[in-house]
Amino acid sequence: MKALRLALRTLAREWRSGELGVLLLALTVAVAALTGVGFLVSRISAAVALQASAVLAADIRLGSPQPLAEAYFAEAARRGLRSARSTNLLSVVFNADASQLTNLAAVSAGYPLRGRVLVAGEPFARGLPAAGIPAPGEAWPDSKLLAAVGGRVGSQLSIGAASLRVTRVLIARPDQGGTFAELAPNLIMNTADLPATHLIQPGSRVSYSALFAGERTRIDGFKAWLIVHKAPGERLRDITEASPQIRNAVERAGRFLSLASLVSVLLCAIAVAMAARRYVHRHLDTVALLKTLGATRAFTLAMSVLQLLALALVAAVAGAALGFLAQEWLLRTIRGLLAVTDLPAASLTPLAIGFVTAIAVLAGFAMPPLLQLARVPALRVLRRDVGPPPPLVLLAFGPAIAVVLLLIYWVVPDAKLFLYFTAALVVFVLVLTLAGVLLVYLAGRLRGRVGVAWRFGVANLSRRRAESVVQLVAFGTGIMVLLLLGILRDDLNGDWQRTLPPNLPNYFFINIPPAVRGDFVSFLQAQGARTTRVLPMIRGRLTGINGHAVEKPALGAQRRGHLRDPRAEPHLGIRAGSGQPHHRRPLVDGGRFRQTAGVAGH
Amino acid sequence: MNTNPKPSTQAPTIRNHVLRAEDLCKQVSSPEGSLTIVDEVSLDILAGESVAVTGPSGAGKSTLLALLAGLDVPTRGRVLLEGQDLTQLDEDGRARLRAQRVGFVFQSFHLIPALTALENVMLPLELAGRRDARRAAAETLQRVGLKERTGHYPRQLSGGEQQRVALARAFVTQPAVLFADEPTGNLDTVTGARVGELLFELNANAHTTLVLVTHDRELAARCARMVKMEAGRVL
Repeated sequence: MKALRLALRTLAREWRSGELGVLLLALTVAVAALTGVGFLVSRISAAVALQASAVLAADIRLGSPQPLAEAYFAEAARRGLRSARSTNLLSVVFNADASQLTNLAAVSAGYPLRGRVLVAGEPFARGLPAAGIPAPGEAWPDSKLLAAVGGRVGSQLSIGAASLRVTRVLIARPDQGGTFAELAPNLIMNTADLPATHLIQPGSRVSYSALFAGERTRIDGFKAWLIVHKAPGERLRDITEASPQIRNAVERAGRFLSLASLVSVLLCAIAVAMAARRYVHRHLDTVALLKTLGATRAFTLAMSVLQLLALALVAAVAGAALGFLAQEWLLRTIRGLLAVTDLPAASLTPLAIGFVTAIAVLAGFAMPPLLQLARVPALRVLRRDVGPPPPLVLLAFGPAIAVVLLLIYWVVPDAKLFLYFTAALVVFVLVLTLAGVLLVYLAGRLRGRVGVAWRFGVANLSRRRAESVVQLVAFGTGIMVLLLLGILRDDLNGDWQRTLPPNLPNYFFINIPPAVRGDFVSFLQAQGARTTRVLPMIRGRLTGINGHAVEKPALGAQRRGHLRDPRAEPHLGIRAGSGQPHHRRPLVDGGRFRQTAGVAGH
Repeated sequence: MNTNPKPSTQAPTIRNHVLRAEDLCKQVSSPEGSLTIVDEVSLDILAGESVAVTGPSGAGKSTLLALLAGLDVPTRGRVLLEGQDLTQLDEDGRARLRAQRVGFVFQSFHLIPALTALENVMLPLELAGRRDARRAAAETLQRVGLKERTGHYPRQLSGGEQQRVALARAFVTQPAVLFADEPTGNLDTVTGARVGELLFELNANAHTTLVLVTHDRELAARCARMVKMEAGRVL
C-alpha cells in the first residue's frame, strides 16, 4: 500500500514533468496499432461471414437430388440448431394462357435461417422484409415472372396441378444464387402445397436442401457429424465455401495488417526499451536515496512494477480508444469498397489483446532495466560512480526476445514460416551486432584524427560501447522491419495479381441471342470495353471421357463435403471454345448453346 | 544473516556507545591491485556526542561514514549501531535499521525532484510507516523556516533552502544518529554558516548523535570531538 501510494504520487509528478511521455506514447501507439487492426479485421470478417451465411440462407446447407433423411433434422434439433427445408425445381408457371419457365422454391417455416426475404405489394417496388413464408395456397412470384405472365397481386397461378394465389411480390431472397439455372424467374411457395402440384415425378430435376443455423461451435460440431454421416452425392456447403474469394482477400488483408501492426509494435517496443533505459538512468539517484532512507529492495521493486502496471493500464485504455477510433475512420474511408453497409459491432477481444500487448511489451522491454534499478546500492548517494551490478545477459535480453517471439508467433501462426522468420531475424541481429561492434571499434580508432566536435561524439560512442551497439541494433532492426513491410506489401499485391490469369474479364454477360451477338459486341467495343471472347454455354451431364463411361467418384472425395468432383455433379455448366479456357480444363459435349461473353473494362 | 534489526542485548558498557567501529578495514580492487581506503579504524561515539571527521581529500572520510551508516560493508571489522552489528544484517536489514535510527544530510542535498518540499520531508516517515507523516513533516519544515515553501519543488528553491529541506528530512524521524557529509560544501559562505547554525541547533534540541564529515574548519570546530584521518587511518 505504501509502495502503491508512493508509486502513484511519483508517477503523477513524473508525468507532469514529461519524464514518462515517450514511454507512454510508445506504448499507446503499440496498443492502438494492434487493437485498431484487431477491431477492423474482426468486424470485416464478421460481416463477410454474415454475408456468406445470407448467400446460403443458412450457416450450413445440405443439398441432394434425393429427399433428405429425417435423421439430419432430428440430429440438428438434438444439438439445439434451427433447421428449414427448401425444395427447388424448374417448372412452367401459367397465368391463364401465358407461361414462363420458373425456378420454384417450396420452403418450410423458418426459411430463411440467415438473410431476409424481401417482398412488396407490386412488381419492381422497394422490398420490405417478409414476416414469414407464403401460407398454404399462396405464392410469392418475383417481378420478372409477373411481368412475363402478366400477373399481379391477387392473380391465380397454375403450378403443375395446383393453383396458388399471388399474395406478395418477391423482390429478393437470400439463396437466389447467380448460376446459370437460377437465372430463371423465381417463385416461393409453401412446401405443404408441393404434393398437390404433382410436379415431383420419377426423373424430375428436383433439388432438396436442408438448411441449418445456430451457434458457431454447435454448427462446427454438427458439420463434422454431417461429413461422416451424409450419404454419397449429398453436397455440404458452408460459409467458408460460399464466398472463398472474399474470405481469402479478407484473410490476406488481415494478415498484412497484422504484420504491419506487429512492425509498429516492434518499433514501439524499441522506443519503450530506449525510454526505459533513460528512465532508469535518471532514477539511479532517487532509488539510492530511497534505500538510504530505509526502503528495501522489495519496496523499490514493487514501486517500479506498480508504476509499470499503471502505465500499462493507461496506455491500454488510451491505445484501445485510439485503435477503435482509427478503425472507425478506416471503415468510413473504405466504406465504398464494402458490400455490407451495416457492419456488426466489434468484439471485445482486441481490448484484451491490447492490454496483454502493453503488459508484454513493458515486461519484455522495460522490466529488465527496471529490475536493475532495484539493485542500485544505497552507497550511490555518496559515490556517484557506483551503479547497479551488470545484469545477466539472459535476464537483460531474454524477456525481450521471448516477447518478440510470442508476438511473431501470434501474427504468423504457421510453424514453418515462424521458424524461417525467426531464424532470419536472429541472423540479421547477429550481423548487425557484429557490424555495430566493428563500427564502434573503428570510430574509436578515428578519435585522434577528427575535429573537436566529432571527437566528443566518437569518445561517447567508445565510452559506452555496449550501449552504442545495443542502440545501433535496435534502430537497425526498426529500419529493417519497416523496409521489409514495404517490400512485403508490393510482393503480396504482386502475388495476388499473379494468381489471376492475364486478361481476366471484369464482367460477364450471358444469354446473348445469336442474332444480336455481333451488334452487342460492337456496342461494347464502342464503349471502350475489350471483349475477350464470346463462348457458347449449355447445361449437360458428363457421361463419358474418351469413349469410356464416367466412373463414380471415390467415396472419400465426396465425403469431404467441400470438394466438387465433376463426375458427381448432376448438371454442369459446359462451355465450348476454340482456345484454352483461362484456368479450367475444357469439357466438350453437344447440345444447344447459349452465348456468353467476358468483358474487360472500366 | 539477519534481515531485521533487533533490540540491543549487549553489555551496559557497549550500550553507552551509540556507535562503535572495531578494526574497520575497507579494500577495493583497482587496476593497480588492491587498494586500502579505510585501514584498521576503531572508534567509539557516545550518545548525543558530535564528532567531526576531517582530513584531506582521499583520506577515506566518506568511506568511513558509509561504513558507519551501513551504506557499505567493511572488508574486515564490524560496526555496532546501538548494539546492533551491521555486518550481520543484509542490505534490507540495514535499510530497515536506517529507517528507524539514522538520518542523513548530503553535500548535494539529494532531494527527489518529483516531490515537493513537504513530500520530501514526509518520505522517511512514510517509509517507516508513520501515519502522522504530513503533520510531522509540516511541523519540521516550520522549524527550519520553510513554512511558506512546503508546496515548492526542489528546482524552485535556492541551494540554502534545499539544504534546509534536507535538514528537516533528516531530523523529522528523530534519529539516534545523524550522518552529515559536507553539508555546507555546495553553499556559499554566508548560507553555509546559516545552515551550519541550523544543523547544530536542531542537533542540540533533538539530542542526536552527530557524525559530520567536513573540510570546513569552523563547522568542525563546533563539534565536541574531532577525528582526523589520513590515508585511511585515524591519526
